[in-house]
Amino acid sequence: MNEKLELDNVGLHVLHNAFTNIAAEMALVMMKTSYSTIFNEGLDFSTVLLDARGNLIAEKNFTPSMMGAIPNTVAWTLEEFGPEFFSPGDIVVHNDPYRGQCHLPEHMMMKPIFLGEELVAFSGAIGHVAEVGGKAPGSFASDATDVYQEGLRLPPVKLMEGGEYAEQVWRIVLANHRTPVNTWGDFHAMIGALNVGERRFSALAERYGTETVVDGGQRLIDYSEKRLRAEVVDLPDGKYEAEMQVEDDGVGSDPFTVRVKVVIRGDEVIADFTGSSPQVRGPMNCTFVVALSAIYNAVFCVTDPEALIPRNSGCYRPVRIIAPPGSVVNVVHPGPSVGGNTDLQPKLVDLLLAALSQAVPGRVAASSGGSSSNLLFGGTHPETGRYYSNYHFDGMGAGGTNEKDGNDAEVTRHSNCRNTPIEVFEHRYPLLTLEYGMVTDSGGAGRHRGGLSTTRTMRVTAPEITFSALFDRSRIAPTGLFGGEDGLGSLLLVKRRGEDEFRSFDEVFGVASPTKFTNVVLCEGDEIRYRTPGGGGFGDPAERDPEALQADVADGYVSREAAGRYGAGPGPQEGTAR
Amino acid sequence: MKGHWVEFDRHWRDTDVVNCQVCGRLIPSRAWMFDGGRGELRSCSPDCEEIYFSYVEPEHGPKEAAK
Repeated sequence: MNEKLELDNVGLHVLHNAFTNIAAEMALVMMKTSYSTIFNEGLDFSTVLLDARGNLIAEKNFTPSMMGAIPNTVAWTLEEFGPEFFSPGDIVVHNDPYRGQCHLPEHMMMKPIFLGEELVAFSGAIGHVAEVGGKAPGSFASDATDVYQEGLRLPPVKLMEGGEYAEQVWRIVLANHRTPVNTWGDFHAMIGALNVGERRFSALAERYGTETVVDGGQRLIDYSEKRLRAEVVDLPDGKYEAEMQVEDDGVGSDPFTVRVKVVIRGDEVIADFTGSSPQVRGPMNCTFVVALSAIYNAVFCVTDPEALIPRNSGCYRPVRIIAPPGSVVNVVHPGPSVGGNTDLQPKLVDLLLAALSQAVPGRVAASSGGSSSNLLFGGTHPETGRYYSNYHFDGMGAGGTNEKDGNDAEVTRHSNCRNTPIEVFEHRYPLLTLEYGMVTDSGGAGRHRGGLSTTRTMRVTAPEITFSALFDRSRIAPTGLFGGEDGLGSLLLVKRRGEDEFRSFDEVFGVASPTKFTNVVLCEGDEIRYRTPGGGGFGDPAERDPEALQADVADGYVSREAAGRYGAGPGPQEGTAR
Repeated sequence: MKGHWVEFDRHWRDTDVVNCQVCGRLIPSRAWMFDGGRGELRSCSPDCEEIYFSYVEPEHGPKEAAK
């Protein structure tokens, strides 16, 4: 102790960078030390610093879907148990979807940071744990009708007490996850990240003084609130409504409805989901914080798309939500919710952007693919004799915007996750990838076309594998905007060993849905092929730049036949798919 | 604001979760109670009383009282 740091604009900038770098270092710890590919390749996690009341100070937020959960999980735990619940060296874990989590696989860990006797902050890590038990390997039962089929639910409980293992809790967790070795490794990656966050925050306080660091965090939050409110004020006041149909809930085949009214009044935004369908039987329901993440996501898209405003709890204050309990956007006990996070949330963002397109048409995008295209599998690995399980997803197309085409093969909108390289995938799991690429013509035509989706074909190389899937947007395609065309929907097929043709899973196995099913057993030599959804197009296809269209045809993004949808056609160059 | 705080008296074995009648948010340990026109509503904070009278009630009509 200590260097003097004035909390003027320069000093706050220094502090903001210091906080953010701590969160980034925590993320590196998780990436480098975790066992599961969903963490070390997929990066389906976020690392954060929070103040003593649970307000977010800084983040390394790989996945926007977690924005709503992070501050609320800590704040609500504090409110439920009081600050006296926490002691130095404690780590609390929590995945309860009714108490602030995104869905059951998402686990938030929080560690109090004490300086002397005083609780001054928390380090936090939230991530999608790949296997948490329940009726299906990968803990993604697309036909689950209650939370108990989805896995092990943990209310806020101490995983570490005073730096020691809370052994009884660990025993329960490890006994209920199918791959306890991975859970052990992934949990310790999270714990390692929290410990690094604690050490670095303490060192920062040692350097600049506790009061300066704590006060600086509050000033940064106030600064971000002021900045975001100033952006919202620039949006035209009004009520903007939108409605969408979602094709099914995984249990029945009927669609359900989500309605939103976005109200902009002065410096605040209200997203009102009143009138949306009651919660559905299957796992397509959102938790409250997932709906909250969606509205934060959409508001940031139209106010601060380049993230120039420090992302902390101040950014959340101008945003308010009305999410009726017991509806598809706020599931109540014991409703299932695992797919609500991955497959309803991105569509909520699309829906909110569709509403906001009436206010700021130049700042929104057409619909993204809108489905994480979740593929889950597990079994005994023939080479190791050990049980394995994996949660797998691939990129889809993003919607076109006023400025450019939608991104191709991207895990949008709720997630910035990466795919898993084929080499890693084949090393870990008994599946051989035969084909992997982008899908010609999958992006909706438009002045700016939608991004392309991906396709993959894999062959089973183990005696048997248990598969589950939760794909959406197979019957209701991603929608175009302002005259843009819809993106291509998703598809999921299987070819049994010795057969010549791929067929749908409902045809082959008699499951209720062709894209949402649980625990189908495939055998060695069977092949699975899928296509994720493409993005919607933005604007009239006839207005597309002819040179851009010609380049698309040359690159195989758009076929010559489909180029006719753009009016003038692509010119003389032949297309070659790649 | 005209409401008042009410602390929950709950045993740890009580696993029920209570949500705000206005915004839907979780109410972990204490509720902000106020008269919404058809009896007392259970909300998560004074902010929800404000948004109830400035937006929810004019837009959707008064809500039924908490059970």
